[in-house]
Amino acid sequence: MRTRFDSELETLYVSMIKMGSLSEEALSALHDALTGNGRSRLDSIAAISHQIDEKEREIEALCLRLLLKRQPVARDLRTISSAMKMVVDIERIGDNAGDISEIIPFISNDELPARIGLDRMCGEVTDMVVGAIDAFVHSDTEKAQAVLSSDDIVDNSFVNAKEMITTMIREGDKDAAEAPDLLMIAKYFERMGDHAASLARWVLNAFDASGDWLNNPVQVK
Amino acid sequence: MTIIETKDLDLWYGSMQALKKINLSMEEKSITALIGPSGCGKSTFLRTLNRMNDLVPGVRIEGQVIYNGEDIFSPKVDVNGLRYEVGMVFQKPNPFMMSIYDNIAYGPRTHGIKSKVKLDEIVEKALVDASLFDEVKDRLRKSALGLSGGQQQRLCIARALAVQPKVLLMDEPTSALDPISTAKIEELAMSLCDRYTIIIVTHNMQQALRIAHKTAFFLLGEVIEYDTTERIFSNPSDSRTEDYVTGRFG
Ligand SMILES: Nc1ncnc2c1ncn2[C@@H]1O[C@H](COP(=O)(O)OP(=O)(O)OP(=O)(O)O)[C@@H](O)[C@H]1O
Ligand SMILES: [Mg+2]
Repeated sequence: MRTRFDSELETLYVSMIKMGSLSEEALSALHDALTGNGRSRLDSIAAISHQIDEKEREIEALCLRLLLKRQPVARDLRTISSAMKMVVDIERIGDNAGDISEIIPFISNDELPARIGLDRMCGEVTDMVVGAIDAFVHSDTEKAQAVLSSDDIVDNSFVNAKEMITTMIREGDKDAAEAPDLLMIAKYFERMGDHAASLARWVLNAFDASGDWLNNPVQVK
Repeated sequence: MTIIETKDLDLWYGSMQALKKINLSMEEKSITALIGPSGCGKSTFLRTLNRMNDLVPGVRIEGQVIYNGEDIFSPKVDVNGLRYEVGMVFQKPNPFMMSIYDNIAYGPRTHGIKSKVKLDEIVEKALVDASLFDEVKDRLRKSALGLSGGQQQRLCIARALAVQPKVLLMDEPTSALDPISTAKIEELAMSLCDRYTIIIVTHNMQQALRIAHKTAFFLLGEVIEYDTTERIFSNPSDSRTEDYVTGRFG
């Protein structure tokens, strides 16, 4: 029956996956730079962030067109409206990746980030983003719930990083001058974790049948 | 407050069961939409509420329809009185072959009202309530068949209102109308629902969304889900409801 509409939704899913893998690519470039595997890929992040912006506009336009033409209800409406909110979070994640890529070159000791766990934070955030997009595409509320819970892991990593950075400053570590940059990177990752958690909440908002879709819009902490 | 409630309502046409254990309660002064695929029993259900199915040969009904606290199938009930209180508007406008005025005065006259002054008053009020008065006030004595389809449908609503019903049953009242006439009927239904209870069958999902407080989804003679319209069209609890409202079957 409604094959045309279903293939339009398929297009939406494919675009969401593409947007998600762009942010994954940016995070992977950051990961390389943070583990001392070379900073050559950092330059690509600005371009990726730009592509993410374009994808956001493209997906928003697709969603608006679907709202107009299909006047979706129920599951279709929930899917499309969640997608429109999710692209905003993914776009922010892209921006944050861009912000971090601009700070890293100022860190002279390239072993430092790994020492305070920034590479691990990067991996944790990557898992959350990938998991949330996957949960969206497969309407998988359990997976979304798991992504939501792992926000605590990122928050913990941030607290740990902050403590280590504070200790560096207090003890007059030879790299103490790098502390503000390191703290900013940790903070950006923590923000990315929040956006990834928000992605997961939009998935739950769309597909958790027990939820009150209209009256419980997702709260970003 | 509940004005009509059905309890385990079953209906058979001969050996074919068209309604199965329907338990629905309709709020007074609200609009309830009945949706569902063709042949699922919406019209049958609607016609049962004012005993119009009594006229169909071979019909058998079990269970109860409680209207104002009383079972409408009880022998005490005056069926004609019931049909005045629970009026019906059909899919195809069906004005009588008489003047606009006489169409509306017909019900009150059979009620025994003879005074011209009184009838004039009733006719005008019904036409005003049905948002038709301004369009027809200069041709009340002309044939009702000269009206447009949308006007004829509002005339049928005026005719139903003239006998002071409590409940208006509407079976796809706009399916034969253009978008403007449809919008007028929808506006009308929403303005009437502070005084009347409206139960409307519609195949137009957007119409149910626009006007109904609650919506019941029928499938194969059963009510699958009955909830606020917002809930039915945003986050229904039964996957069959979701499949139907999103156009995956039906
Ligand atoms: N007078 C009748 N005699 C025998 N069977 C009938 C009669 N009226 C309806 N039916 C049958 O009862 C079932 C329900 O019909 P009904 O008209 O109530 O469906 P509906 O939901 O109003 O459909 P539609 O959306 O097409 O108007 C159908 O299978 C229909 O064929
Ligand atoms: Mg019908």
